[in-house]
Amino acid sequence: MGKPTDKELYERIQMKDKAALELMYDRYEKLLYSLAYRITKDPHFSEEVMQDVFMKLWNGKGAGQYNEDKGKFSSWLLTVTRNTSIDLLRKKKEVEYQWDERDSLQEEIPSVEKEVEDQEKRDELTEAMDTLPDEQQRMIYLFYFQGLSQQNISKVCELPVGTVKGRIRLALKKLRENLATERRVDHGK
Amino acid sequence: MENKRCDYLIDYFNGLLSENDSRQFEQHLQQCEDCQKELQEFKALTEDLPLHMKQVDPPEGMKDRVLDHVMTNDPVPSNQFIKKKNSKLPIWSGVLAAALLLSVGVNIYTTVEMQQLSSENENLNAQLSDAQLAISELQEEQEDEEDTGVASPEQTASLVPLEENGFTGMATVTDNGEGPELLVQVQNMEALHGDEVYQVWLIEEETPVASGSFVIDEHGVGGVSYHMSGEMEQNWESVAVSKEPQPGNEQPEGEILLESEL
Ligand SMILES: [Zn+2]
Repeated sequence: MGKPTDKELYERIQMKDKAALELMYDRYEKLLYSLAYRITKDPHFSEEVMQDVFMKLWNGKGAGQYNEDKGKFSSWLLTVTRNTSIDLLRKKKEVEYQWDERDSLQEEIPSVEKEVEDQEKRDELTEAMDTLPDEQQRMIYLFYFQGLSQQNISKVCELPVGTVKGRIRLALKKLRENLATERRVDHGK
Repeated sequence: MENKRCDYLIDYFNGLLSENDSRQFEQHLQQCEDCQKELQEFKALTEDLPLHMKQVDPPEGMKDRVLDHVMTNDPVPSNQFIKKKNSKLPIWSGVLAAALLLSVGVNIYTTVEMQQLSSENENLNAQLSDAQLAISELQEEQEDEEDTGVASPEQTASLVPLEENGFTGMATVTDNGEGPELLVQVQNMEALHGDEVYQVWLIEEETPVASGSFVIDEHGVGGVSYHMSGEMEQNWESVAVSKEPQPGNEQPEGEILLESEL
């Protein structure tokens, strides 16, 4: 008997099959946890994200409802995990924002130097990010890893709102190119 | 051509738009190839970036904790417990079933929503009798299904009248996965007039906190379900019901009619 596909597992989960949930968990634990950790930078928050994501999966409603219109299952599950992570981040930071929106946003700007020192955490993504100019790193970080609004990104980066989207797209294009290069170097593809 | 709507793409992708704006943007998306293409880029990124990340080892025991969390917070039992196909609701103990049905069939009235309530009284009464019908069916069903594993309420208490007024009720604290919920159901209550409502209070150290209000049907039956979000940490000592001259009171004006320790 072959391994059940993601979609088969998902359907069994919707039938409240506990074993299927466990299989799904084993299959995705590390990938989802790593993404949550990358965004929240905190093991407790990341675990909270995992609880939330698997709760959504089990309930199968709203954000936890998957169908083929939503693309590949694994991509969808990663999207749910990212959204859950940035939601959690927002909730934890809400108090700070009220206190002084501008100051706390400043704190979120990544320290490029620190990332470089931290050899342990280096991976393809970090490498590819590092080759980008600071401003582009910051755009990606605030947009993708913090889920900030266009308005807030414009404030933090001191850019006119109208230019934010263009800058993000440019940064992403660069990042994708770098990642493709990394791949060739690392895997000889 | 860049249109004003195109500016919503980033906030749409990051889930920051109101439901209304979100829907409007989706309509725009149907017609705007630029936005479709850009959204596709963003989505591709979500799929792609995690694959380039170094995988982090989760903390020890996380699997058990996560799966336990899902199972203990699930309103519907897992499949070894699933019962009749035609019963969508899990079978709860009698009173809780009643309270749940009330909350499902009657809508959930928070303090704010109460403002519009008096005009909806008739509608409410009709729904209440439906709910009661459903309750008795459910209770019958339950009799031959005793002892089948279902989630149990965390706490149930009888509401006791403070005077000889014949009022009765039950208060239940339960959790169906969306945080603790206080369910109050009462019977034999006296009729309300004008804007009057019955108000539920959670009490800690003699300080009452408004926790949902309701009106009753012609049989003196009513109830309310109240999300205790964020307040569960508090050590509630008791729950009480009073009659208030209008909805939305922060402090009780009327006398406490029913009370129970939690
Ligand atoms: Zn557009």
